[in-house]
Amino acid sequence: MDKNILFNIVLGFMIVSTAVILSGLGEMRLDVYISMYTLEYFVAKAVLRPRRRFLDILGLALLLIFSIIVCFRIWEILQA
Amino acid sequence: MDRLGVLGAGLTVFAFLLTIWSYLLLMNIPLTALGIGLLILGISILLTPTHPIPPHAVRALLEGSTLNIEALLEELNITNRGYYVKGADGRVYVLIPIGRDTGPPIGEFEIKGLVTKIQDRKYLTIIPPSSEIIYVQELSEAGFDDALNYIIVDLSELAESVETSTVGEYVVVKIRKPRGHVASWRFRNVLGSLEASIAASLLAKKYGVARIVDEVDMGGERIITLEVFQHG
Repeated sequence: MDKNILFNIVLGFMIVSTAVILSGLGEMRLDVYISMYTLEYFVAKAVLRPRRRFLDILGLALLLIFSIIVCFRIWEILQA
Repeated sequence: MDRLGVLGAGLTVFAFLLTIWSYLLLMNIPLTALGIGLLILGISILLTPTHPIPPHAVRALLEGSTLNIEALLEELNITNRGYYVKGADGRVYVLIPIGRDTGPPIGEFEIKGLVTKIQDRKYLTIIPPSSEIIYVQELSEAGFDDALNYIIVDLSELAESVETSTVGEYVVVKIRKPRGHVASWRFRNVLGSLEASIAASLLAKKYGVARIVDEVDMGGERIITLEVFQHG
């Protein structure tokens, strides 16, 4: 199977599984979901190395959002 | 737009609406999270190239070009190992010593025609099969390891995996499960196997001059030793 297609199938499976499992656990923090998606995206990308039409803007956007989430968490800890 | 593109665009729009709707109207976090996840998936599908050249087609093209060179080498009865050299125009050439091998080309030289004369040494000039593929846009910022992996494993699927290590002036490339089919023995003797030729071309592009020292096949692996010469 073409690894580009495989990457999207694996990513879809991981995202849906994460959403189902975390919601089943009663998780209500949106940043937890997004952090997991980001992690899964980069793990799947590192393993399957899919080709991209151009610059991976999705990866950059996820990394940026993840960084903001981490910064907020650190800020919360420092405030406590 | 093809079917995959339509799927990606459709999923992205649906996921966007689901996210907005479930967050603002339903105030349902798990559903919002699912919407975001589907949005990521939709964009990922949109970013996926729909018609990449199939790897077996790239491999076939590369292997086909070796047959042409094989015929030329056979006709001219060339047996010396060639030196992969980056020319003044930036393209990688293979300079094969005619007669006795007196070492790599030294100093400034201009590559012109089929035979290049450098300081009274004559070299047969061949453009290797990988001369253009090493300049594809995706490799513009890549290092040797990444570029070699991209061409051999991803682009052409000539092998399952590639490992490289450097020992002084020598670069050792370990190719796992090589899949090349064409057995052009003279091509292999002079320019190396297709995998070795790609590795040597990349090294020449980076360092100036490279040569394949040795190639050993054992237990589903091919171990290629390359020597790097400083240009000039």
